[in-house]
Amino acid sequence: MTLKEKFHQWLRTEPFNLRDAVSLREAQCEVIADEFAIEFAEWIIKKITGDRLFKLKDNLLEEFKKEKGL
Amino acid sequence: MSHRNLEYLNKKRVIYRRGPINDKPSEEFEWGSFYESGTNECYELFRSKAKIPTYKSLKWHLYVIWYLNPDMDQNAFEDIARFICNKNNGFVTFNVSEQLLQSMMYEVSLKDLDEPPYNKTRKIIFKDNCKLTVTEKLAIVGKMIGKTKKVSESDIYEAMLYTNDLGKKITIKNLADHFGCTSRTIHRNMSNELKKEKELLNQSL
Repeated sequence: MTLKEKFHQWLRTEPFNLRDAVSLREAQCEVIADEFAIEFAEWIIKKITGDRLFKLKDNLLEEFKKEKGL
Repeated sequence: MSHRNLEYLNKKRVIYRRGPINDKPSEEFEWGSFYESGTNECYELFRSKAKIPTYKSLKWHLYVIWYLNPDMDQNAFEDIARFICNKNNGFVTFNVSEQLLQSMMYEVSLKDLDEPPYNKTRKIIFKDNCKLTVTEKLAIVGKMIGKTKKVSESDIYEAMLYTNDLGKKITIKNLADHFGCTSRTIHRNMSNELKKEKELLNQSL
């Protein structure tokens, strides 16, 4: 599934009838962005180091987001 | 593709499958039962290899679990919901935010257990121990439904799931060939929702 399709699922086609639909959508979009950031970071490191099994440490993205105020 | 961890649900004795309780089959076979007018009473979660691809489907799965396990308390339900929503456990294709999880659990727990969750109509129900291969099951579905000359949306969905289980791409043409009808008949009986489901199943291959 492309990134656009992933966002589309939450932004347009899901049947949210709740009062807090907007914040739920925002939370899900953040999950997709986080997923993308982690996958991309791991991909880059694997490319540079050749370490195919490289995995980012848990909570590293959270630390980064906190540091940058994201 | 990660393997779906059903062992956890089994260990916790969660009921996620139940056959029809009131509807009687029109015909019974060694491999299972045929319901000419269809039955809505059969709940068989996680029967195909396809993972849960959408929010709507995820909420339905959680609702069915809540319905099939009336003795389950709120804490046990939360535990199961969290497990299913964790992408690493192989049930869903997407990660679920904490906020969405909380909202879903709240909504599901408000549902009236006397009212069965909406369910797709099924005409053919295979026995768990029937030992047929997916190809053989698909052939039976095509033969039995073809005989009735009425291809419904649920029949198409059923064939779509088996085709996906075989690792094959679902096309209108192969569905039409399967039921011995025209592509137009398939198009006519496919809602937009089912067309979207077809795309999602094909993407999961």
